[in-house]
Amino acid sequence: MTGQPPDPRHLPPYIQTLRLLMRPLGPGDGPALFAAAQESREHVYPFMPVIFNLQSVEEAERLARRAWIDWWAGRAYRMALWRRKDGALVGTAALHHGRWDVPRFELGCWIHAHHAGHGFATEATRALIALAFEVLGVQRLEIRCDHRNLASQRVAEKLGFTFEGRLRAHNRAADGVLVDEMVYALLADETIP
Amino acid sequence: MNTRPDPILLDLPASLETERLVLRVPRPGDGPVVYEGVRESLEMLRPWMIWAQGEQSVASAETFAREAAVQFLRREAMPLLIFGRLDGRFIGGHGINRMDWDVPAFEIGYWVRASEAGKGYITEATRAVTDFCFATLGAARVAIRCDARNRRSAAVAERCGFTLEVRLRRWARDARGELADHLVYSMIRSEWEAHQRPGQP
Repeated sequence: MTGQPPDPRHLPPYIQTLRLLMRPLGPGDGPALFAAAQESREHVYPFMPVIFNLQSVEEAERLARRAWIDWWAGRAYRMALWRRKDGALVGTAALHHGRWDVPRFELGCWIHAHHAGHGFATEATRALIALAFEVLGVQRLEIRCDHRNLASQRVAEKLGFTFEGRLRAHNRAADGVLVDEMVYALLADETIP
Repeated sequence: MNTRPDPILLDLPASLETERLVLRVPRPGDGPVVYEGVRESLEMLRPWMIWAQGEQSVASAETFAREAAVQFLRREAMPLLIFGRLDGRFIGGHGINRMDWDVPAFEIGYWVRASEAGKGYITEATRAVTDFCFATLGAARVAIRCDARNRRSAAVAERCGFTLEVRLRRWARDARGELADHLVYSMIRSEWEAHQRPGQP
């Protein structure tokens, strides 16, 4: 079956991994999201301008509610990553920039500065890969990042994504620098190491 | 980065000229001549061009022409019609499909009517549109994307000095609904500038 987003009522309401509880971003997540963004501004900069630019709790809450609408509409699947042992928000992960006719999605992930380096990005991304291929019927999953973002490239390689190419001078980053975009992809019938 | 001026305020020419061609933005009234060119070329276009799948008519071509004119005014795209410079006959379509003004980066595309294929018009037009992107629009990057099996389209990119950057596997559904790989070619500003210097290949 291709070409159609699934009925959102049939999607898992949450995903549990070894250390994380992943829940769709939604109403009420604004305060935690804003606090996390504030605390990790310098870390996120310049790769995640959307989170970086959040100016207030209200704006973060708007972002969370829009994410919830997108989840229901099948436009994007954005999840908050809560650490199971203490309920801390360690980041967000998303399937976004998708097209249902293929279907394909791009994988995005952002980890709070205080929680970086513990493999949460890999753990959350693995769970989203399973959601994409096993539940949503995705054919192609991409990871795209700024060529300076070595952490994302490491996650892509660790998860078995193939480096397809480098789009030169493709983006103007949040800091105004002209950057190349690295394109990695994983296809539905490729195995995850 | 919100420092750049609104592109809608840019004054841009609506036509470009080359040795043998005039390329200009479509306008109301172009429907009949565009339709005539599309009709004779459907067999060539349908494997590659999503827009050519549906029923074609003077009305659908006229709708394209009017929407193209509006897209150009919005500086969202710059569709162009290719005409013979001396006799004004309609040769094909060209233009900038996507404009990312933040970079600035532009994606271009093209087609030629069946009876004018093989004469080098698309290569000539592509060189002109590429020059326009860099010289007039200040491009940092110009890209061409096509179905990996569309050899003629890829050959134009290669002839014009574009570099193959990536093969996007299973990027899109083709006209028959099959998954297709796409190729992305690009030229960046430093490469274009190197081509401009006299005495260099």
